[in-house]
Amino acid sequence: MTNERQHPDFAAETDETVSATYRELSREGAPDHLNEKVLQQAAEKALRPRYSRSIMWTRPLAWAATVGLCLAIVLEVTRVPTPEIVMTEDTIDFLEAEPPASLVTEEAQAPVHQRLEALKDMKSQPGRSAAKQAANEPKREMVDADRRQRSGAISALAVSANRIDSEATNECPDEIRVDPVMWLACIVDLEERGDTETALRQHDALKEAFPQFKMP
Amino acid sequence: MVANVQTILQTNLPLSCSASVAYARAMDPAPEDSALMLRYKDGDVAAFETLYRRHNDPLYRYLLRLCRHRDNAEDIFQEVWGKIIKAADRYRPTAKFTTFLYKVAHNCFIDHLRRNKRHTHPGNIEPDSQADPGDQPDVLAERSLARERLEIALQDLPDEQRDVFLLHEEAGLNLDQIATITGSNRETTKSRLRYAIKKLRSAIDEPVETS
Repeated sequence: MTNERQHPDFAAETDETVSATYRELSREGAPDHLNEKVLQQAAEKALRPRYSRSIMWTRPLAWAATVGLCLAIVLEVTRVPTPEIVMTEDTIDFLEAEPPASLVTEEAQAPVHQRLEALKDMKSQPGRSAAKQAANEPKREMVDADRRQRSGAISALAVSANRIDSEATNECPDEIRVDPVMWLACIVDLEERGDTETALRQHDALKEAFPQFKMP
Repeated sequence: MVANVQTILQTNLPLSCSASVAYARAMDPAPEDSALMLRYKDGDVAAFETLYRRHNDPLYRYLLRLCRHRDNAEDIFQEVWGKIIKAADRYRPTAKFTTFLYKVAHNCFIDHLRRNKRHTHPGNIEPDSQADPGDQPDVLAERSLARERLEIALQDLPDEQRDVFLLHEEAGLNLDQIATITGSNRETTKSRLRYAIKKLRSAIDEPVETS
């Protein structure tokens, strides 16, 4: 209270004369009977237990229940076995498989300067790349064979599905141009239909795209 | 009563044996109100008695001047301390204890006004003043007259202004604390206090017209 009275804010709002006169006027104290009542009440409150006896028995029960629950949880957690990862042949194949086509395409679509840099890196480490290539050779052959088989099936489907489109445009569709055999079949088809100009154009394009392909 | 409290303390030692209580007792010769309240929360009745002795008279005077009726003031006084005792279990020293105490007192007074709907007729509060024996008779007479004028002027003040003035004088609270208690803003509180002091000062300086 003394500190508050020394506060500048307090002093600014105080009139000394009024304050002094009030102090002289106001000297009453709380009556003794009131003091006794209040202190008696305080003492009784301190002696009284915080919780009534009717619910006192619930406290140890609550503690026991809590401890039991904690133990049960701990036991449950420790008993659960850790799942083991079984390495089957399928899993190994999956892990060793080539990245998805979408990722390969993204790689191919990388900026030119990045691809050039990657090429330079490969050239600067010929031994490493050669060893890598040698290690990957049997795998690559298998993958190529698989790709060829898949693309053949896809091309056959594409030929039948895009026949209408190719008729409309008189051009062999891009899906067919992937495989020289299917492309040639498309050219033969164009010749049979009498579109010689387009057939010749497609023939030149085939030669240009697959120079090593032996024409029948 | 003191003897009773000591007996209770002697028989009730385990209640006051927590580390915080021991620390407060050992380190602080004049512990703060909140520390005393926390000790009482732990069952230390002596701590409450110290706290009570510190605040009982100013609080009583505050209520007496506010109610202007001794019986009502005593009822509210008892009600206030009853609430403080009851709230001890939940007490947390988030604010100054004085602010907490006078907030309870202010609210009890407001409740009292609501219960009685209209103001009770002001009773006679006899000033319990003592003059210095060395003062001259004319000085004593002048001071006595000033006290009478102040008493009348204080009773004539609007409730809000009287409340603010009493909180300032009796509880020694600053404007922010008074604003918290009365639920008004700082500027309003400041204005009320200024008006109250101005009216009281003019009452002391100028003689009261007698009919």
